[in-house]
Amino acid sequence: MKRYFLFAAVLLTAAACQKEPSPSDFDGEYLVYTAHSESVGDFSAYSTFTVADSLFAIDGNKGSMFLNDWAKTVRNRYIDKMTELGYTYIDTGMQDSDLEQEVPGDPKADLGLQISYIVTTSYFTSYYPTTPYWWNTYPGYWYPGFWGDWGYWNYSFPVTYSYSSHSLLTEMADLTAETGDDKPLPVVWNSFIDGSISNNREDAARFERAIDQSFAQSEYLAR
Amino acid sequence: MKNILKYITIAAVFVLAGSISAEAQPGRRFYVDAGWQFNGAFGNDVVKNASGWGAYAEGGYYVLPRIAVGAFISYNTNNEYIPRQTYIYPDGAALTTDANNSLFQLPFGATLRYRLGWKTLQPYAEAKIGANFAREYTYYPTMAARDSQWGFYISPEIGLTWHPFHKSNFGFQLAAYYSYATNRSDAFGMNGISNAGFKLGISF
Repeated sequence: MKRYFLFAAVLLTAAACQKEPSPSDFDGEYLVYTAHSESVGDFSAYSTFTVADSLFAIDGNKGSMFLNDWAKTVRNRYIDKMTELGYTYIDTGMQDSDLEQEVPGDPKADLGLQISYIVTTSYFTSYYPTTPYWWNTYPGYWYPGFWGDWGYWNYSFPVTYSYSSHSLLTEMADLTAETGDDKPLPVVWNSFIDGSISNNREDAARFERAIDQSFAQSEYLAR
Repeated sequence: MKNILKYITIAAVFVLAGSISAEAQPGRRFYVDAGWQFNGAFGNDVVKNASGWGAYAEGGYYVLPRIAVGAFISYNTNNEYIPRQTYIYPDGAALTTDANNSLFQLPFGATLRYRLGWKTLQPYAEAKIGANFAREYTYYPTMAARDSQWGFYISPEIGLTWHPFHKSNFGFQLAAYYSYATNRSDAFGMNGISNAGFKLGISF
């Protein structure tokens, strides 16, 4: 019996000898994932958009809105990219020029973007919807229903979440859709940007390049 | 007819016994070899490169002066960098990232060794057969996808052990091998793993 234990110990020790790549084995840029609802065949049917006044920070199970200089840079980048695609920006909620004042007239937009900055979290979008079992071993495996508790969005396409450390999740909702108690706003596009925190948590340059990439790989958004 | 078979059997026993006594080997009948292993993996879609992240150990017993049976275990990791690129999926989703593919192998099993001599230099040919545990990873910057499975393993090997010290079994080993394992992963598009490499170690 002793021999079997010795043999098992040798096997387990050897199995633990796998060489993992180090952070320097990557190029340091962010991973960018995008997906869209198949129910929307033509995004050119939308003409206007708005972006939530603040970014939504998620840290563990707690969320809060914030808008510092970095968040303004990120938010403006989305406005610029959507404008480049041919959409017209509508300022809604609080005024961009004065966050103490509401925008008069309650203007409406066709699309709404909510940007979430996720720190020390455990959720992200699945890259391989056809083989989700790959991700089952990761901590914090979560289902999309989680988001319903925060922003009342609703996904119409399959999404799963798993572990991450530092990411930007952007959801584009169809604000023209019929809503009600049992009809939350449908999310028609989302973008997931993820990378290591390293020494610079709010790394504007890398995030801007990643935001640009999220639109570059979503050509169907162009009007 | 029965008598003829009887004579042949008796003659064979004498010949075999005579050959054993005529080639009585020096030193111990058992051996232990261990050291560093450099492995190249090919014939799969996960990793195609060579790496020195490996080691091996084996031992055996000479049941005949030239023929030994024994056991072996070894492991290797082969990592390959995948430059940044954009993957487009059928549903329109897209992923842009760089990645590192990794293939870890842990074969173990039985050996059959035939050596050509038993003096200072002992060239040998060896056949290994057993099981191969393999684990595949695709590492992204902050996460990874993985799969693992077992396969059947077979490996021919040629090498030599060099025992330069008088009245001592201590020596050095150099060997080259090829191996094939039947490990299969649908998720990683892998159907079999071929390896070739060499081993440098010490021998007791």
